[in-house]
Amino acid sequence: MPTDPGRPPDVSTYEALVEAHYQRVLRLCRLMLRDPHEAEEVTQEAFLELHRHHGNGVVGDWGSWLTRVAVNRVRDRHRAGWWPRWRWRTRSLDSTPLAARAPLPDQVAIGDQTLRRIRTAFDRLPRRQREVLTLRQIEGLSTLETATLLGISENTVKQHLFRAIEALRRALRHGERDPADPVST
Amino acid sequence: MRTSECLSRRQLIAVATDDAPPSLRAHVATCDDCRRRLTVVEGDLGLIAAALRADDGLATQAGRGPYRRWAPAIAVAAAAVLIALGIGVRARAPVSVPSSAGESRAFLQSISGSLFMAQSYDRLLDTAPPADAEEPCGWGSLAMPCGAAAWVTADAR
Repeated sequence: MPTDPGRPPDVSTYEALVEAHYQRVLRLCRLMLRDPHEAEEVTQEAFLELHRHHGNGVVGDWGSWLTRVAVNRVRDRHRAGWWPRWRWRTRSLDSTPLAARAPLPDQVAIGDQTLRRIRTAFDRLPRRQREVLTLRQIEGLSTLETATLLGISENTVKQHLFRAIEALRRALRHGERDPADPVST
Repeated sequence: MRTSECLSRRQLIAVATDDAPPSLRAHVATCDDCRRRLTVVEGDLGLIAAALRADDGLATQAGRGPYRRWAPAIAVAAAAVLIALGIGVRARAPVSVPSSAGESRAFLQSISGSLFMAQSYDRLLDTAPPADAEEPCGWGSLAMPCGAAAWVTADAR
């Protein structure tokens, strides 16, 4: 991921970086891997890597660095083959315990049905579309940054993003007419 | 009022994700219909992002979990079916059943040859003692000088 060479080095302590980025990186890994155990492993690997580099490296933005390391680790996992990944993929959505019983503010606003519908549709997206959507819409990376990180062209990023958004919007509409369709007059 | 310049869904999504050229944004700024449609798309994007950001520990793997859980059982069942089929094919191999005295004799000779190696069925027939012989069967002498041998030979003849 390109970083601004003119930016002063990030001198945050390791503890501060863990505090600031652990949950974000964990969520990123969860969305890209779709498995909570594997996501936890990859996140820990990324922070272990951070621990190794933190003392001797000069990095402008440790947050971007962590994102890059995590995405590369996720891609390594995808390349590793089906067996190591399959071992962990045995828990269904319904059997996964909720972290808290009380609904989160986002859930209250969205509604549980809609939340599940979106997540199920997200699960069914091809891997590349999930990656692009996560990096662009959740992580807030630019098209260029996403393309660089995933090793694809900007046009491909745009294509995947459009398809992913269309699929999720279809799931959201649940067969109803799309109000974003042009009204013929 | 919709015009020919109004944006397609793809273009609207490009505007909503900051991937659109300035000309498209300029159109949205002047077109009420496109602005309304863009608001819908942006609202959906907000919902999608909020649903995916909600960090409640839910695994996003609903699509594949249930059948993957049964994959080992399916693999074992498939292996069992293959083994059963293999046994079935072997079991169907033709088995020759002796129908005449000559065939029975040949059959017994082959069994005798296999079991006793050195002393064949022919020799057994030649040296068989009378059926009422009192000597017990002994494994030390493979000639089986007992009633069993006579029973075998009588049946074969």
